Amino acid sequence: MKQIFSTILILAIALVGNSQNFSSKISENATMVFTLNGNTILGKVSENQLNESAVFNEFKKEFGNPDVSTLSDFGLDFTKSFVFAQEWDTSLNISIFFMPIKDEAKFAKLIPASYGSEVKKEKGYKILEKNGKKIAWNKEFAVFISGYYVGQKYRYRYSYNNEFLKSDYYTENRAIKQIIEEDSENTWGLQKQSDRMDEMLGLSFKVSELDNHPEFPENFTKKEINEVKSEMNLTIGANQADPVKENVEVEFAEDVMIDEITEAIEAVSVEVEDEYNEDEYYKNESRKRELRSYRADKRNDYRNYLREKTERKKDILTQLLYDNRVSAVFNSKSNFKSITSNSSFTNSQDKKADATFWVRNEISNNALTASLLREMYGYRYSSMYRDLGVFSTSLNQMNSAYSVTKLFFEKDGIKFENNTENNEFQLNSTNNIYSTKQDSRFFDYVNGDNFLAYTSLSFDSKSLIEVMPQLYMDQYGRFAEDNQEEFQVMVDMISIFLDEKAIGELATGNAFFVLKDMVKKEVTYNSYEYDENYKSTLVEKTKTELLPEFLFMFSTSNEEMLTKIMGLGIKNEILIENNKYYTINSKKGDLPFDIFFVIKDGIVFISTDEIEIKTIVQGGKFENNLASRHQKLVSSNSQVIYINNQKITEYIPADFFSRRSQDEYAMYKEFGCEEIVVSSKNKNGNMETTGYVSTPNNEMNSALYFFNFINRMIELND
Amino acid sequence: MKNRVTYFFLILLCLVSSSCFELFEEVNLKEDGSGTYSFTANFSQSKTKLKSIMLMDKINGHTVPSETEIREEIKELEQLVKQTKGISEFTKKLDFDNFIFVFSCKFDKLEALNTAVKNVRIAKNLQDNTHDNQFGYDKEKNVFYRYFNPTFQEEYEDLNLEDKKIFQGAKVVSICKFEQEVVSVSNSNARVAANKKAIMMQLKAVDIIANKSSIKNSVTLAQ
Repeated sequence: MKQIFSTILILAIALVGNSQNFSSKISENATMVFTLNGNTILGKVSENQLNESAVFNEFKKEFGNPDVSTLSDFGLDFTKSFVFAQEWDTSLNISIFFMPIKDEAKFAKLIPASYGSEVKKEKGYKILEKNGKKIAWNKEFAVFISGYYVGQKYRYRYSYNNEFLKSDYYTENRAIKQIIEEDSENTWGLQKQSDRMDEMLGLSFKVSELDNHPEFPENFTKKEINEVKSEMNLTIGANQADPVKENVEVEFAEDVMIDEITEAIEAVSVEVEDEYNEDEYYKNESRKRELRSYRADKRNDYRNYLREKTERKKDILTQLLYDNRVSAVFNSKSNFKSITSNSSFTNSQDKKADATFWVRNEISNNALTASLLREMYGYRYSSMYRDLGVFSTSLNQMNSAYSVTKLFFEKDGIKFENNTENNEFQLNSTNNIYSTKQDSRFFDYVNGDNFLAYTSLSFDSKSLIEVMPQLYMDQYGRFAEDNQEEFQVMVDMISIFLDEKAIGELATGNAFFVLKDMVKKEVTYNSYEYDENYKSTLVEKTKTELLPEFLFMFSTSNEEMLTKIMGLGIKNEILIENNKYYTINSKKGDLPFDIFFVIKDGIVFISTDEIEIKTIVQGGKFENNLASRHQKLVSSNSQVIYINNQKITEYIPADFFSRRSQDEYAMYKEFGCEEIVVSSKNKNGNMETTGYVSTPNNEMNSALYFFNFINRMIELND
Repeated sequence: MKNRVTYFFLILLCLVSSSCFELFEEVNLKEDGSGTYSFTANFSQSKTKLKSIMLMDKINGHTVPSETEIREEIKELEQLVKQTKGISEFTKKLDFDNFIFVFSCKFDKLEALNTAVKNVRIAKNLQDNTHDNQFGYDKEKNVFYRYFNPTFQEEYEDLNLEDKKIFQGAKVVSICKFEQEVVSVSNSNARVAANKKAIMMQLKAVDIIANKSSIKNSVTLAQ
C-alpha cells in the first residue's frame, strides 16, 4: 500500500512541474516514455496542498529522513518536467527516471543520507548504488536507473542435464530397495547408504560430497567481472551503441521438471497400498523417504550453488550495463542515438496534456516480446498469450506501430485519449472493419437512460473475418519463427475455407448489450434434512438472489440460417421453443439463469426477462427510447462502454467487504465517480479511444478530487 | 472489449451472489466393523455463483478448472480409492447442474478408509500425514473413533479475504449410524438420535478451521 502511495506522490510531485526536455537523453530503443507535464496542473493542486497532504506525510514516514518537511527539501525542481522511460536491448530492460534538480546541495545531502550508500565521483556526475539500483546526478538533473535482466545466457535453468544432478526415480528406487535388504538391521548411516547407492548406480562421484563446493565472497571478484566481460564481449566505459546480442537457444527446462514431478507422482500411484497398517511396510517407507530426502538435499545444495553462480554473473552484467547507460546520459556520446529521431514520439508531446504516455507497439512483433512474455509468464507464455483470445488482442490493438495516450485532469472529470499509429496493413484493415454505423433500431428497445451500463459494438464482420487469419499469423507466427512458411500456408488455407460473406450475414457486426437492472429473484437450491433418526432426505429450498437483467441485441441478415441453428439447439434439448421465442434452460445449459431470445426483423434479441421478449415478439418498443446523448455517442463511435458507477455501487452489498474495507467502500461510494465512458472510433485507419470518468462537481477540478480521494484513503488506513 | 465486458458482467454477478456449501459424511457401521461410507459436497446454494465462475478463466488469481478437468481429477481419485484393499462398490454421482457431488463405498474394516485417504495423499505428493487416520473401531471395547486433527487454521489465515468468504456460510455435517445403541459420546456437539443408534454433528466450517469445534469423537456402543 505504501509503495502505491509513494508512486502517487512521485506522480503528484512531478505534476507540479514545468516541461523540460529530457528526450535527447532517452535512447532510440525506448519502448515507453511517460512524460508528466506539470505546467498545466500547477494551479490544480498547489505545492502547499501537497505539503500538507496525508500522501506527503505518508511519504515522509516511509522516506524516514527528518530533514524532509516540505517538497522543496528534496532539492528537486518542480517547475520542470519529470520523465520516465523504459528501454530495451536483448540483455536488459532498463527503467530510467529523469528528475530535474533545483538545489544540488540539498539533493546531494538528502539522497546519500537516506540511502546510506557511498557516493562515487565519475566524470561529470556523482553516483551511488543501493540494492542493484543506481542514482546519478549533476547540478541540473538526477537519474534513477533500475531494471531487470531479460537475456538468456545468464538465466538459470533447471539443470536436468547436469551429470551430478541427473537422477532416475525408478533406478534409484530399485537401488534403495536393495540397500534396505543389504542393511536389513539399519545400522548404516545415511552417508554410507548413499555412497553404496552411488556404487550400485555406477556413478563416478559421490552424491554425499556434492555440497563440498567453494563459498562465494560477498563482493564480486575481478575474475568474475572479467569472465562476464569476455563472455559477453563487453567494452566497459563506452556507450553501448549496439546492445549485446545474444544467440542462445532457449530450453524450456521447466517442462522437464514438471514431467519429472509427474513421473514421481505416477511412481507413487503405482505403489498404492493394498495392505493394512503393517509395521514393516511403514518402516521401510520411512527409510526410503529418509534416504531420498538426504540425496535430494545434497543435490539441491549443488543446484543452489550453480544457481548462485549464474545469478552473480547476471548481476555483474546488469551493473556493467547500468554504468554504461549512466555514462551516456551525462557525457554526450557521438554515437548515442536518441528517441528524438522518432517522429511519432516528437509529435506525441502535448503541452496541454497533464501527462503523455508514448508506447512503441511495433516492438511486440519482434523477438523482444517473446522475451517479455517469457519474463511475465515463464515457459508457458505462448499458451497464456493464446488464451487471451484473438478478440482481446488483435482486434482492438491490431498491433499498431505506436500508441499515444494523453491524460487531462479537467474541471468535471478525468479524461484520457489514446491514438494508435498504424502501418499500411493495419490502416486498411481498420478502415474496412470500422467504417460501419451502429444499427439505430436498437435504440427503440432501451428505455431512456434507465440502465446501469451498456456496451455498443459496430464493425463489419465480413472484413474482420477476411483479416482474421492474417491477424492470427501476426499473433502466433512469431512464436514459431522456423515455421513461418507453414503458418502462412495455413493462413491461406483458412482464408479459402472461411466464407466471409456467409458468416458476415449471420452476424453483421452490430451489437448492443445493456445491463438494465439487478433484480431480486427467488432461486431454488437443494439441501438435506434429517429425521429423528438422522435419515437424510434431499429437499428443494428457495432463497432470494440478486440477478442481472440484461438485453443483448445483434443484427443478422440471414434469419433463415439462424433459425436452422436454433432447430439444432431444440433437437439437442438445449433450447425450448415457446411458440414464437426460445428459452435456454439454465438446468440444461451452463448459464446461471434462464435466457430467452427471439429473432425479429433482422435483430436477434437475447434477454433474461421473459416478459420483455414476449413484448418484443408483439412488436413492443419504447416511446422514450435510448436517451439522445447516448444515441449520439453510440452513433459516432465504433465501440462504447458506459458504466453508471453511482447506480452500480448501490447494488453491491456493503457486507460483501470486511469491516475495514466496508469503510473504504463507503468512502468510495461517497467520493465515487458518477459515470465512466470509454469510446473508440476509426479515424482514417487509426483508432481513437477516449475515456472519461466524470467526477462530482463539489471539487475545483478533477485533479484535486483525485488527490483528496487518495488522501482520505490514507487517513482511513492510518 | 467484448471479453472485458463479459468479465465485468460475470464479476458483478459473483459480487452480488452468495456463496455457501455443505459437506456431509455418513458412516454406517456394522457390529463386525464393516459398513458403508458416503461423502457429499453440496454447493447447490452457490450454484449461480459457481456457474458464473465456471464461465471465467480465473477468479481471485486462481485458475478455474473446467468441468472436464474436475471430472478427470475425480476419476484419478476414484482409481486410487478403488485399488485400496477392503474398499468395494465405489459409486459417484456428479451433478454439475446443482453442483452436488456424492461419493460412496463399502468397507471391510474402517482402516481401509484410512488407507484410501493415505493413498490419495501419497499420490498427490502431500507431506502432511496428520489426516491419514480418519476412523477407528475397537471391537473389544465397542468404541468407534472419529479422528480429526485441526491443522487448517494457518493455511486459512494465508487466504485472501475473497477466498475466506467462501467458508463463511459453510457447514459440515457428520452422521454415524450403528447396529448397537449408543452408550456415550465424547464430543458435546454430537446429538444422539431418537432410536439411539445414530449420532449427528452439525458444525460451522469456520469454527472447525478456527479450532472452536471439532468432529473428533469417540462413541461407546452397547455390548
